[in-house]
Amino acid sequence: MTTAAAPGGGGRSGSGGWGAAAVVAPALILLIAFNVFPLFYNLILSFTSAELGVEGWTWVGTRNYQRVFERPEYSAALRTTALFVFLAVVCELALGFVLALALHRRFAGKTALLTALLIPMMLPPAVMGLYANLLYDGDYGLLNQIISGFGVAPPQWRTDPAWKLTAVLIVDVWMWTPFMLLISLAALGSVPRHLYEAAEVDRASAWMVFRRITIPLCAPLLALAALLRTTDALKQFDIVMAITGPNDQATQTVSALLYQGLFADGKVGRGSAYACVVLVLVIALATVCTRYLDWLARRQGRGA
Amino acid sequence: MTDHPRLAVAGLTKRFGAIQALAGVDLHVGRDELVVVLGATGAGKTTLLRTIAGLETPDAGSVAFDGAEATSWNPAARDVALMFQDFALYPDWTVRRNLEFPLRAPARRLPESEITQRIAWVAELLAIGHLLDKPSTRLSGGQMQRVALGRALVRRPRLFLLDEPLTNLDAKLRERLRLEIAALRRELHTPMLYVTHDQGEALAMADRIVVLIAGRVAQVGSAEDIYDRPASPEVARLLGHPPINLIAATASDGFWRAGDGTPLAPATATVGSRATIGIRPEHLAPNGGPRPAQIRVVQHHGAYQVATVAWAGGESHVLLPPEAALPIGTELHPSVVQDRALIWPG
Amino acid sequence: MSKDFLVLDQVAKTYADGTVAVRGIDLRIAEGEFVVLLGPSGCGKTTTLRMVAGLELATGGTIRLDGKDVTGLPPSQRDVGFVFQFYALYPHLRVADNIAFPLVATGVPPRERKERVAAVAESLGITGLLDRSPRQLSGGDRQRVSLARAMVRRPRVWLMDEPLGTLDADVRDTLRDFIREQQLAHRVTTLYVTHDQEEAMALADRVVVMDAGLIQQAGPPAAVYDRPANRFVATFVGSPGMNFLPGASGEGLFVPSAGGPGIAAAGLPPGPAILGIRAEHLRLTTVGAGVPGTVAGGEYLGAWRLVHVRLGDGSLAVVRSPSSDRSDRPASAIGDAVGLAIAPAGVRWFATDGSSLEAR
Repeated sequence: MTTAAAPGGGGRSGSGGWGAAAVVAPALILLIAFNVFPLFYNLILSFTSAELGVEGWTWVGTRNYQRVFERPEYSAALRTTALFVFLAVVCELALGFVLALALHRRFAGKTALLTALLIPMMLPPAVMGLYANLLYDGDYGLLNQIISGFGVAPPQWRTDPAWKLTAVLIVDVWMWTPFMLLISLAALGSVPRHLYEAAEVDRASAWMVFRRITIPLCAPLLALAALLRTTDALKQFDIVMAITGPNDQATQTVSALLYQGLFADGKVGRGSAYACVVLVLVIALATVCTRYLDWLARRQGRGA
Repeated sequence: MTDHPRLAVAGLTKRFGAIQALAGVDLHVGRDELVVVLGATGAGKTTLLRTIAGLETPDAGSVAFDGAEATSWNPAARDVALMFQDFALYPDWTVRRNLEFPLRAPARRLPESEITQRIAWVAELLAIGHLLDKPSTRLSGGQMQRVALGRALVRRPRLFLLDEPLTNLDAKLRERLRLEIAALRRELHTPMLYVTHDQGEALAMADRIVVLIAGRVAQVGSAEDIYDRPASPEVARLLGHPPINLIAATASDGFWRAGDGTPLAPATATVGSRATIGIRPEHLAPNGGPRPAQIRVVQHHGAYQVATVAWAGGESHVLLPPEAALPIGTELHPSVVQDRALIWPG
Repeated sequence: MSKDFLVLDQVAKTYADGTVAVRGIDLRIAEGEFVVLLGPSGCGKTTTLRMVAGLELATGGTIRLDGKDVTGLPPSQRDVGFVFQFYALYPHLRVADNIAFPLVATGVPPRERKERVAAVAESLGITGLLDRSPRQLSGGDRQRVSLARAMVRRPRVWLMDEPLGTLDADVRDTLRDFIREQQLAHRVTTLYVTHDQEEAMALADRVVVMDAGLIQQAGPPAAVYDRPANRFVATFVGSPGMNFLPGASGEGLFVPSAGGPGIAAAGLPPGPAILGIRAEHLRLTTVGAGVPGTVAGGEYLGAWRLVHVRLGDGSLAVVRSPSSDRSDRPASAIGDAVGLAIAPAGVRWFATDGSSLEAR
């Protein structure tokens, strides 16, 4: 039952007012300064001709938005991002879950192994990207030396347009599979042991136990992890930046394009318009997330 | 001041969404009294305790301690010790630290020697001395329950609130602890409000029983009162083991008769009026009655046996002496011990 | 009907950390028999049950089911139904799918599956719950569903691990009767674990009392209650447990060390011994006429009343009498001096080491 125990003697109901305002004021001010103000400033700029290094600007109405919907690089970046996010999340989830199944039991050195696996996740993505460049180098990179060792002609990871996005993807998967692994381990651990025992006594095969017990009971947590990863992968920038730079058509994600437009080309107005469009998409996605979390919480709350 | 009971609850009402947990509960606990609140799961017992402890705010009604209106007091100010049904121990602490915790609260400031002494006392009482230095996560369910009980007992509050403290324990340990808790209350002279669904605990321990059904007080009285003169069939069903036989009856030819005509008790009511007749198994003699009853199941209870018989258009329980060897299918002729049938017209 | 349908031969379990849970159990269960393993927490009863199910592997001895050695087999190859204390229902499946699970697992075709689920639900009175989620059910209903799941495949043995442990008293009684009726109706060999002696007595054809990983006594409920093999069984079975009066015998007379008149003890060897007597075979009397003591407390139990009497040596004895018997009333206030009269038919003799002297 959800009833807030309200400690505190007398005036528990009347203690709002100025006292409460004083407590939340600092947070509120910071929120306005760093979140609300930039948001509105961005919205205003999106209707102007503002450019970096150019004095003054004029209202241009919805022209920036028209450009965003007309010019191919904007929709191309959205497609690239969508493809990237889809592949990244699916690969990471699948790989993480399979690894978790393998690691979900006690064995010597489990903690050490987990710690080692988690290291990539803790490094800054930009560092990971730069480090990956060493591996990806066409002639001297470790990766290609290994591949040529098998007698296969190695791809030019950073220059061949067909492989560039894959190169970015591999680094992302490398970084974030451990996260999925962790969540998967938690999900597997949350399935009560007696359910497995019951299934065993019920004479279920290992495959049936996996499909009918393990998967459905892990699904809510895995879905949550996938959602979190999706919102995060949408912002992909650092690795792209490190491997191909922001203005490469094969890997130009939304964030890379924003960077290119705003800072390299200086088109502040148009960049802001694009940012607003992306923001709407992100809000839509975030709404799905919170709805899902609400549903999950209600389901959990309904009964033990 | 001294005339006031330790706890007085009046018109307590609490609703959670569609569920009316408490619907106007009145009760009081004297200064040296063990009051048991007896009710089935979902009757509102836990909500009642939590409201008295100050963990829930009632929608209406009042809580008073020693005559002082306390409905708006915070839990700490109430100075009651609440023992939860689910033990709520601090997981990484040792048993000793868990027990000491309530004594180290800043409001108390007990001297170290006093703390040591009280821990030793409660450890001895609950036989948990050998567990004191174990982390609480390493205990069995029964051990955790005892530690949780110890944590409530180690304080000297104005009132103990115990929420089914023996529920998850072994039956044998439960028997021992219910004696000890009752003895303890006499020794400490601290009143207790004890919530349970176990009629045996209620009967054995209570100075007074408050029967709670669907958020309402259905009856208040001594164990004997409620067992011998239950106010309604619902109350009667809550007490007694094996449970009371309840039979719908109609008055005709001077008897309350079951659906199949079996006479159950003399009736003075007009012919055709209806009643529920309650007959405790110990008041249903195995033989001497007019109608046959076949034994369906016999269960041995050591000092006696309980036979389930097909009688009066339904199933009834009859007590048999321990040595009787009566196989399934044997015919008895149950008869109601004179004047022991309970009659609720309507 | 096989007399040795389920056989445990010197079955033992020592865990990897060295904890000995079961020291060596010998048990022969006939087909259709209802056997209850009874004992306190940690006595090894649940481990024994789980070894029969295959959820734990025995580290010693053999388990044979219908003549076949199943000691090393996984649960899925033993054809047993298991009812867990905490229901173990699949939370994401509807009640109907929970019950159907063992049938799906063994490849029963959908039509037959549906029929069998419907039939078992009907017999358990849970037809109305089939479309619900387990989360929406009360404890009693959850355990009914769990029973249905254990029954639907018609396994050769039912194994039940304290199935009523967490339920309200009234639900517990109803379900207890129900389990017994079902077991009698289908004559399924059943091994049932509980710590509640009353439940054990009420259900069992044979009660197996366990302590410290060993069987202390096995026998029909009445025999275990009436002729306990040792003090542990005498104390654990029965509520309250048996009373004990240490003393010494000589010349056919036993004299309790707590005082009082001697008690006829024909055939008892001279020397120290312990008299055991159930609470219903004690009666309160005047100080001179029985073992002297003081009333220490009372418990009203509805049909009965218990009076606790503190004896001269500090031990407690419990007297049980029908509530309708008012003769005890005047002398049962706390602190009153009373005597305990002993009914000779209720006397059981024990050696000082706790073992019964009755068998000889």
